[in-house]
Amino acid sequence: MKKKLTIPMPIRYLINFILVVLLLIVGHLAISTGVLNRAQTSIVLQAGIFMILAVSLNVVTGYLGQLPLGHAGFMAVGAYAGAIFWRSNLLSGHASLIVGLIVAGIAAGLVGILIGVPALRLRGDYLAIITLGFGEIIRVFIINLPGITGGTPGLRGIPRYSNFFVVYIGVILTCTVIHMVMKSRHGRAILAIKGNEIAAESCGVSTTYYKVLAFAISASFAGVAGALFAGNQGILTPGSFDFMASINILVIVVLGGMGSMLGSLISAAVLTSLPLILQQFNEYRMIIYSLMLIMIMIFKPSGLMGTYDFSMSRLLEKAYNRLFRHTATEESPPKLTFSIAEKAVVPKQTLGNKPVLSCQQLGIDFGGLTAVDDFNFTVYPNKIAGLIGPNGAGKTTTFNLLTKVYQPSRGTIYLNGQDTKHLNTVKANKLGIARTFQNIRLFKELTVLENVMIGIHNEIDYNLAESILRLPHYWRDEQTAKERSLNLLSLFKMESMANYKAGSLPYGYQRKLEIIRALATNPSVLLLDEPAAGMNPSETEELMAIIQQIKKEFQIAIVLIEHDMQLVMNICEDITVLNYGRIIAQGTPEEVKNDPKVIEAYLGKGEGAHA
Amino acid sequence: MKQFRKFAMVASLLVLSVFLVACQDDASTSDEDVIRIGVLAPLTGSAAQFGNAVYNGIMLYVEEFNARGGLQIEIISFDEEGDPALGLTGYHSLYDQGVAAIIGSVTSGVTMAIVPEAYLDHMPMISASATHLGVTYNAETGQVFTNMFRTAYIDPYQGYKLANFAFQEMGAATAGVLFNTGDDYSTGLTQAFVEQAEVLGLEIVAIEGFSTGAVEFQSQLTNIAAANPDVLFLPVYYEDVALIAGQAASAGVQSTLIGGDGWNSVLTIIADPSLLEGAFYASGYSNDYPSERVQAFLAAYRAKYNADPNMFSAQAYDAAMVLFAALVEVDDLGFERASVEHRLAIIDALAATDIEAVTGSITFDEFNNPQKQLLILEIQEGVSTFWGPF
Repeated sequence: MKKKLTIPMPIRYLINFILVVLLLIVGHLAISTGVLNRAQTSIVLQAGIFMILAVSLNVVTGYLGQLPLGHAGFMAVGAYAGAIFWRSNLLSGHASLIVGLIVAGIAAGLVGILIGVPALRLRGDYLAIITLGFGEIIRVFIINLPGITGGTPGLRGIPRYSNFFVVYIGVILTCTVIHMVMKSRHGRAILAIKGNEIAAESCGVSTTYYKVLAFAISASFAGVAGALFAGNQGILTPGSFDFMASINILVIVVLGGMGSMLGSLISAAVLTSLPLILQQFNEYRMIIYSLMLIMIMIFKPSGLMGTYDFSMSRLLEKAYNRLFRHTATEESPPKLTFSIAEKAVVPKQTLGNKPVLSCQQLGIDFGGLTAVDDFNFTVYPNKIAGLIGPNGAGKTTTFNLLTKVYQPSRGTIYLNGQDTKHLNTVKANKLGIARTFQNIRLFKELTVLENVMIGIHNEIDYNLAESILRLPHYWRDEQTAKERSLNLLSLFKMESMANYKAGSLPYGYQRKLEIIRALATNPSVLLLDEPAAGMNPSETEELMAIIQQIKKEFQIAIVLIEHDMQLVMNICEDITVLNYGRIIAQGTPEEVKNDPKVIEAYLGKGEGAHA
Repeated sequence: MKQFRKFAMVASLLVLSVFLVACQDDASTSDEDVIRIGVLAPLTGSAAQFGNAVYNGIMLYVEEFNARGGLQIEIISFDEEGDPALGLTGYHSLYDQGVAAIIGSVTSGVTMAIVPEAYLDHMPMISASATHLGVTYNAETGQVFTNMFRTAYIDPYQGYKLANFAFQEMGAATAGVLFNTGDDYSTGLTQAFVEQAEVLGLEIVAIEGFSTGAVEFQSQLTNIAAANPDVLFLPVYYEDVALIAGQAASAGVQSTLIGGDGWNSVLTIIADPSLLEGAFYASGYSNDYPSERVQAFLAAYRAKYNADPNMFSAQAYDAAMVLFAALVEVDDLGFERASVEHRLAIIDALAATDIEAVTGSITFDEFNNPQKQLLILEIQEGVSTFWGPF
């Protein structure tokens, strides 16, 4: 089988760049020679502006998975900031245009942060209502600051900077920047939050930071679009930024497919030109428009493009492979570029013999209910500890305490000798604790490789600017992350699945992937919450081998919650038994097995382990 | 199921495309003796009510005009939905289709977005209903948009006239104002009213505001009732008038209510017309005005639409009349139609307008605003009765 063609990144960028320039030339010629008449040109400009709005809103709705309803508010801030700057005549010509757009973006971005910090503590419909409220507040502010914004009549005489060239560059820059951010560790973090917020935090992704970041990016491009809007219309009235304006942008994104940039672009173009195209139908126009919306939602509920995104290079590759290499039919897994033996798979932990995790008198109350109390627990490196107990004994609660998902009501937790008192989940993870979940929490929409790379989020540290500009630091780190992720995957024989969607994996592999993702964060303690749940005996067998392997290769401490007694008794060196939130026994498997209290409370009288 | 879905999708797409194609080519062919005129109006959307009234008024005059023979008018309309951005597209679309002039748009917001562009093209425009001062004149730069005319009087003019009316005709010594702070029309009338009241010595004892969409006016009305002015000026649209009138009585407001042309059709929606008993409002037009022209227009409108016209229809009828008169005037000068020279000639002819129209005799001042009388209507026994011109 011949090798499939893959176009290397620099050439991909070059192809895209050439396409962009070609389209610019074609568009410019079409307009200047009158192939596009004035009405069509004006539609092109508006479509461009709405493309920026839709693509920017998509960052929060499609990628971050939130539902803000106040996008027009950010657009308004940018529009007025840009317009006021331009009208002030501080600069002239191109400098004024460019600085005005930057001012618009920054102003809207700042307002985005201001609103995002409190608003993003909420989610779902609460966030929708809050942002709706903020959007209206912005509009009311504008109405009531007549000295600055012209009040209700608004501003007029705004320089009409928004020609085809300017709007086009705006669209391209927006798409490029957002694309570059999304295809980086920052973008992966944002997607991880959408996938599963708790899991993202347990991988060391600061959800607050990335939510606000996504909000700020979204808001600042909306601001740029607002300024272009002002420069297109020449006048600004607050009425243009009402609730319906936000809804219109949202409709574009939903129709195009939340999470698809291409979808947003197409949908913005179509929806903006419909009123012009359908003009001749008069009264039927609204019916046709509504029918189209309904039809798309019925036949394609995920939007026109779903989450599909377009890549010219991928298309070329496909076409090329179709035409010249008939043999390549199946997606082949990425090849490892090095042998595992050569490179140290895992940085060997030098944990010594000091306890990596110890807690004293740990306890938590939920209102009047004491879920866990007087929990004393110590784990050493290179050991496997078990945490067992009947349902409702407080095992998962204990894990949530250790990973700081819950803040304990009493007691202390020391991680690698450090007090975790004021730490949150993200910081606890950075200190060396990682976990899996009882109900699998993978980032289902992401690939297996991406899931693992999110685990490596904090190990690579290129910043936002470096990812947007694709500086060497970005390439280096991404390469490292990818290699290390593939290494980890190959260690568990999953490298061939690297490009599959995590959600499409069989159950056993999902469990395995969750463990790998946790390992990727480089923990010194790994918490496994019922890893064998739902596994058949042979899978359990394999799991046991894997846990042993982790202990051997990584020499870290492993804490295990498990109901499968055979598994627990076989691999744990030390077992803690919880009942009603309290430790009733602690010791080696033999000791625990024979402890009358355990037998009574948990294992049943007169019986041994129910193997 | 999947098969069906696919089938249904293809079928509906087919139907849609057939529909699209079928309707594609119904644009009329151009004729030598036909001048294309654009109509820009919100025929759908929140301002559709005004848009359709304007459209009907224009089409009535077009029918009459074309029936007379000679120069023929072809109307190309564009529905701008009350959206300035779509209005701009609409303007360009009409321009592309070679119109010699445009009647429109209906609301001030959309019209103001289009005017600067149309000014550069020397496109003659006449609006039947855009009342904002800034439609024909940019106060900041002092620029007059010489291509833009209108048959509606401007907001400040109404406020000014109504202050005069309250002081001179109603003998008011004190006045209160309740206005919509988020609405151009309302703030425009208020400002002019208050300024003129000061000049006249009509004391403003209470001035209260509310924002668009408010339905509860108790606190404002209580303040006004406490000040107890002779007249309460309500420069708001009729939906708000109906709401405010209902609450004013219970708040103890004793003042006589007066308002501007936003009150038109208030009686069609108010539950209890007696709440407005004795109130006055201004209008550019009244069906009761016993002038020959008004009655002829009324009869023709009723015959065509089987409904009564309102101020917007009448002013639109007048706008068409004014524009077509200018077209006739420049028609034998031999310009190529819709050429820049033709348009400039139309603009000149419009500026020199002196016409007896339905809503009064129309001439334009240096800002292209009409100089005409206000008609005052008084609500008596649940109906608007004609008080007289003022």
